[in-house]
Amino acid sequence: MTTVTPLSRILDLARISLPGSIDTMIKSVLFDVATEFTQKSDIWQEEIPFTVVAGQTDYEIDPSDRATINRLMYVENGDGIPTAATMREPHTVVLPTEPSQEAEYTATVALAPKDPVTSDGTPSLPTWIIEKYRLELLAGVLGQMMAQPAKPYSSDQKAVYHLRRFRTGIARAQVEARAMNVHSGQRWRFPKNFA
Amino acid sequence: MAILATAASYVEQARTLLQDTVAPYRYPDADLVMGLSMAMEEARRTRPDLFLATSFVVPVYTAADSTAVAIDAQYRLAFLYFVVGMAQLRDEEDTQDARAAALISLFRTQLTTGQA
Repeated sequence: MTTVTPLSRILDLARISLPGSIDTMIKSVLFDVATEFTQKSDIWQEEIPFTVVAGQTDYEIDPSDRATINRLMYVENGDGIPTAATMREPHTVVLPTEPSQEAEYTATVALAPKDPVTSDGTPSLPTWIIEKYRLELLAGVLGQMMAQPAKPYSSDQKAVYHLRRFRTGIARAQVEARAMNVHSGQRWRFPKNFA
Repeated sequence: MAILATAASYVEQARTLLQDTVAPYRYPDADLVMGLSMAMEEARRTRPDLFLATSFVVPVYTAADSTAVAIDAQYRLAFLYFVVGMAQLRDEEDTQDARAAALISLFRTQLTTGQA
């Protein structure tokens, strides 16, 4: 018996809801859907430690997963205190002033899927995101596929419906990302140096 | 074994529908294989997603051999209809013209609307 995974559920339901669709096309659209979902919600985040040295302001960082950095959320110094920083180009953290000594900083970044995809043609996403937002990702796939012209599964009306569900899902994920998945939680934390 | 998976199988099934299974054939193998290649080009125009896995390279067939026809299983019958329709398009009888047009139209309908 084939093992059912959150990703396989998305693909199976997409195949059923989109008669005449091609698997390769579904997976290609799923990549775009996952990209839009993660880019707009910032739900996929990673803390990347990096060492700052005296006299240097620019630092290259790379995520551990098969992903690309979409946005710098914040940088903390070795004491966990938020530190000013920018990211003019993805993967390059820029400090406004040169550090006076070597220290370990941590950059929290928002990620998005990146090519190449996995061996079965699907985007590389953390399993928990696919599990938690499976219905929203499915809605995105259905909406984008149904919006295609001259296909057996084309339907402008249904495309609007599913894309609306997808966008609502993005908004929900964005809120949950800010609240760190805490019920009624808030994003910012009391700076430690005020404690 | 998958049906309609090779160029030879398309020619064989087309001959069955054309009632042209006994040599010497009315429709040469080359004509039927050409019909299959034309079906690919027509499909590329109407359903480019069928060729996503091959980077949109449209295959060309030259012989009724074991060359694989890499079309999604749900659309193979539509391609067979096109091959048969193109073969009958060369006949002069009015009934054959009507049948040919219907088969080619059926190919396009199945690719774009999914209806039989």
